[in-house]
Amino acid sequence: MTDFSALHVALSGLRAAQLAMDVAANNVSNAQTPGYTRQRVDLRARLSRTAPEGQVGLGVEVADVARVRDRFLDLRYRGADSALGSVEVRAELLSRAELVLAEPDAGLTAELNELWDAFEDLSLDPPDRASRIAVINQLDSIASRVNDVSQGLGDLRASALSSLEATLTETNDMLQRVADLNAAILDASARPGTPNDLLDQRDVLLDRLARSVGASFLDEGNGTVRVMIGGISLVAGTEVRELSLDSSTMQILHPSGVAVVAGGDAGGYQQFLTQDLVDLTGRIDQFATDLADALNTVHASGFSPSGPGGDLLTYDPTAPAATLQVAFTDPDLLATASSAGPPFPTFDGSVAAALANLRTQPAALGGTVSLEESMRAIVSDLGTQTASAQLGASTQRDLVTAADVARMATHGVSVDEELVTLMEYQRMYEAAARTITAVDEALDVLINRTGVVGR
Amino acid sequence: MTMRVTNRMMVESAVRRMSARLASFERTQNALATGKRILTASDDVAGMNRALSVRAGLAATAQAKRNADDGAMWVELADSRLASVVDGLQRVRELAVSARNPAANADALEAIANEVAELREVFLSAANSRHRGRPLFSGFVADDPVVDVGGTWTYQGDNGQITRRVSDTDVVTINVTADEVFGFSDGEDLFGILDDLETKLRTGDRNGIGASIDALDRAMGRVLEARSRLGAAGSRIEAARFRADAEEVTLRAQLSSVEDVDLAEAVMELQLQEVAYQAAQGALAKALQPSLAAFLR
Repeated sequence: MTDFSALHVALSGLRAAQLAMDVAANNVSNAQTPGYTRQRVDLRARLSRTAPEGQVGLGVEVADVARVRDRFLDLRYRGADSALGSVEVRAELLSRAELVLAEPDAGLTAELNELWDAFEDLSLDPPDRASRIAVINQLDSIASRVNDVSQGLGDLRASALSSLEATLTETNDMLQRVADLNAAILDASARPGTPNDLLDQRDVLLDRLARSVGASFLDEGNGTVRVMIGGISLVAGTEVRELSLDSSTMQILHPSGVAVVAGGDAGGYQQFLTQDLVDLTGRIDQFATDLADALNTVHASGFSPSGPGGDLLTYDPTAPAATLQVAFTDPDLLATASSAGPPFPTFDGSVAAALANLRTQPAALGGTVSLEESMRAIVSDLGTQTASAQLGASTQRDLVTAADVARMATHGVSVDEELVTLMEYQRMYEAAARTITAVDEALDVLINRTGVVGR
Repeated sequence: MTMRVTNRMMVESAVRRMSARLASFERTQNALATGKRILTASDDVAGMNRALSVRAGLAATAQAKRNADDGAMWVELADSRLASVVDGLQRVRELAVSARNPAANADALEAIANEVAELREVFLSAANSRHRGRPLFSGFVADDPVVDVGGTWTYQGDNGQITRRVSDTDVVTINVTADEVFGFSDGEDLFGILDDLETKLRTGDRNGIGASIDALDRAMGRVLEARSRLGAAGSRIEAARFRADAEEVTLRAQLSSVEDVDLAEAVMELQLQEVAYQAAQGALAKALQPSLAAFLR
């Protein structure tokens, strides 16, 4: 390497430019690929040789083809997206619960209004068979509406539970794939260069893990990533700890038996199942109990021609809303009169009127509010929860969008930029080629024209 | 440092903006199509709460109006029956007074006795009159209130007070019983008085007629008192009915202002959102076109 090392130097430039153009082409090709991180060629000068006259450079070499990836932006995006998962899932489930209540047109408040009207019509003409049948029908209608609501909430619970299970199954699958990628990346680290595509694949999985269970990640330094929830490891190197669901307590369990506090989608499902839905179901049950008890108490004070009034509605105290039903279908058993006679006060509708008066009387929640008010409070509270979850989701969505845009701005491919890069390296290639030509011409002079003086 | 703008970012942001525009377009369209501003509680919790409460109020008011209409009819009917009794009683009194005239001979007294017996039947049918199969004057009981049991007139109803709720707070008693109206509760029933008068007429006991006239005056007083009670009930019902009408109008207006879409405003908004949506589409089409590739050769 003494004479004309410029040939080799130019060749190194030629190769580096070629490689850089390859990378730019790859970037342009992947401009729309999800999860792709833009790659950059890191060039560095080769070590110089020492000539008697001084240090002479030996050209360029490619240090690495590296991803342009900002860990901080990833952290910000994943944190925001995990929080969005919780609140978005919860908002969606709460608005489905609202549909189950079907207020204001087909809900229980409308049924209640019709029930009071039916009782009051009966009080106008107690022996009228049509009015009696209307009362029985309306009792049946409100009881089956309560059953429907209970059934609807049960369906919602089943649907949320199966979604939660599916989320955990998918999470476990992703944990396994992260572990596999950890192994592949560890393997690749023995070879020169960075395994960019494997890293991209793993980052996509980490995004999805943050979203599904709110996992956090720790770079282990050797290329592998540790996946954790609340400080408990799910993936360590190539080892996986799978999550499971205890479907009675709704707890998400680590193999060690510890219940993990999940965020993301799973956290949203969990919160809805263990808090919102339990609360709502309890209040609907309470409403069913209050309704039946209030009606039964008043009805028991009355008399029908065949004797004192029995229960109007029956329910199983372990599941009041699901089992609420009319106690009898014979309209003659409706006790509308306040005394038994004789003679029987056929036209005494005072007990029917007293039943209708439950319209405004505080008969629910231990005699503090009317039944209508208690139902209205359920609707309002659910509405407030839903609205605030929706608002939270929309705010959080803006944060995620901002984090995503920031990430795409840094990690994404700008085609214009790549075209400029391509042109730069094209020029570098041309220049390196021209250098070789120049050296070639110099050698031509030396070889073919030297020592031919006067020829 | 200026922000790098990458191709994916530009496309995704544009798509996101466009679907946000489309979502609000859809919301306004939905509100217009249904005519309702609030479809679920979460749309406007306070509004929904008020709407439900106003709906309950409307149902109660509509029912109160039905109650009032029913009560008014009942009261009117009972009053008209008692009015005929008052007319008849006046006639009986005139007859009794004329019977005391010494000029009236036995034939005349017999004729008067026959007319009194006739009028007693009229009173009996008034006392036992029914509205849609239901006795007007027997309280809660379904049987005829006044019957002849072994020669004694007997009231066989009870003292049940039939009431109608005509507003949230106002409950009106709409019935009077034959017990009070015809004097059974005072131990001096109208039918007994008439029987007694008839006997006196047929036996020519002119001196006893004076006592009968006094009894008739007391009977008249009882019927008039009952009529005044019915009149009072009627006017309370009418006043409540009037209030209920006014209240219903107010409640409907409230419900509409809470629930209903302001059409003009919503149409305007729809128009604006359509323009905004088209603008977003146009912006996306423009934004995606330029590329350095078009200018490099």
